Amino acid sequence: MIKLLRAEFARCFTGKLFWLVVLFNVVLALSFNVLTYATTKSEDFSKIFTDKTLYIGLISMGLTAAVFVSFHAGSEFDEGTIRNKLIAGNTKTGIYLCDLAVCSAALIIIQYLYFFIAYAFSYILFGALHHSFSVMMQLQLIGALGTIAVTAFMLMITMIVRSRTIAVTVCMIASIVFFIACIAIINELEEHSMELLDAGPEIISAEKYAVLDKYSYVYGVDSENLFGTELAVKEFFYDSLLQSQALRFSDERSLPYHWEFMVIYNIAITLVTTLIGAVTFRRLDLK
Amino acid sequence: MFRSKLFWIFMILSVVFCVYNIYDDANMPAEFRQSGQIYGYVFEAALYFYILVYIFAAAVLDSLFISREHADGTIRNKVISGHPRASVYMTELIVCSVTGLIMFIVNLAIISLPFLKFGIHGMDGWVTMRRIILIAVLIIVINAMFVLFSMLIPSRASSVVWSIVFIIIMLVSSGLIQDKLDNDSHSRILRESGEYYEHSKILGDTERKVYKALNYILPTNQVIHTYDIDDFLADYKDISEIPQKKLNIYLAGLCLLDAVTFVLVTAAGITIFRKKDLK
Repeated sequence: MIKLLRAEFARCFTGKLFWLVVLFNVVLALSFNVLTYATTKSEDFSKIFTDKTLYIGLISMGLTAAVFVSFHAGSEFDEGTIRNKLIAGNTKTGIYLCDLAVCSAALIIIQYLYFFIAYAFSYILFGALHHSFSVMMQLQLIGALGTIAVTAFMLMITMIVRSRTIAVTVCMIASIVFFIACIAIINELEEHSMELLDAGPEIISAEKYAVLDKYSYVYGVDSENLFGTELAVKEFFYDSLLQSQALRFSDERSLPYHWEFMVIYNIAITLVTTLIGAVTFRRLDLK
Repeated sequence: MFRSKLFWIFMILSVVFCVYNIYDDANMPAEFRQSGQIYGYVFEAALYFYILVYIFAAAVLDSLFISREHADGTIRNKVISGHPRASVYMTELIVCSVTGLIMFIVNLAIISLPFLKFGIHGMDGWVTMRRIILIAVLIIVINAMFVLFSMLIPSRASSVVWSIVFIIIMLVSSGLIQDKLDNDSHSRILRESGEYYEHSKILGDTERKVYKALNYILPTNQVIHTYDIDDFLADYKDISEIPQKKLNIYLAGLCLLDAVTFVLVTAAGITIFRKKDLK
């Protein structure tokens, strides 16, 4: 397994794909800050907050992971290397876990690369950020867990459909759908909490109202339009989807309320998708 | 194309999408229901969402369809059997555009069905006509772009990726341009009424012209503006003062602009495709 891991890492870092994705992310990191710098007409640049640009890398991570994982793992099926690996004596679970490790390591490197480039540029060009550096590092750590979760999800799809083209199509569409769903859910829950704020202390207890006042969101309180299972499901997606997490990182000043749940959900998604993927992959025949 | 599984999958998906739109309407609060006026709004929103979703569907459909021909070697066979490369390219383009139009017409028919029940009153016919014409033109232009990508990139997976990434970048930049223009006009209104406004949000004259021009030229901006098409055509002046005829002329101008984009993209595609090695 260690030999396989070493070979996989070598394939990843010597291939064109990894460097293309790195290049894309570097350009992305540069472009938003430089664009803001070029199009803003203000004498005092130190008053422009560019926190949002720091988390665009995480928001687009779904798409990046879709492309990277399906090209890296999916092309093994098209080229037949996966059969060679089996013949060489590796177990199917071993192959799956190696792919997961390599893809998540590469994507975490890309994530941190994006963050540091964006951070350096917003620091040099503007110099005003809401978060302190330690909070940013904590957020990136949660984001890294989220990256692993997304990678595990995309790898599950790739290993089940076993074709590069179909995998890349399905994964990209999935990440776009998740992104749209995130925006819809965040908007809906914001409306929900505005409704609670307007209703005031009659509906919710005093301590819950205090939480709502402080964090602008409180969990598990029904309002007139949103209640019961629907609310619970929406709150689950609100916390568990990486894009929703990233969108919330850029909106709040400190660690987001319920960040522990984000961590737990990320780990749980990784475990569940890996389990499903590995079991299905073991059952399926390879041509 | 009509024999491929892919086309039917997309057809079914888009029909499901439209039926969901109508279903959403049926679940509206009771006081809004049974009224043609409200269904008119739903109809317009459904058209808008259709074109937004269609551009992603087209990206996948075109690149999968054409790159299969690349992979099977059908394109090479067509060239060998004596067809000029330009006509091979044009055939693909026509097939993809016609498919897009057929899907649009089928969905248009489905979302129009509730009018039988609610009646057509309360809907502004001219506005809807303009909207439908613009969407049809946009379908062709967008197909031209994706055919360009798919004909030039032989690998199946890569052409899907490039098409989707391209359309996302286009949509994001359209959103940014729109944001700049909105901030600008909002701050101008505040300045005129003498209220507090942020000086940094007002664009310079040339800058404003460039953004405006981009706003009209880029197909994705037009996609975004199918929602408020009349305001867009009238350049956000008061619509009630402008006669319908003038709006129609503006629309014709926009279509002409799309035609220029179409010709440029296709000409570029054919020129590069002629010089390309086919494996």
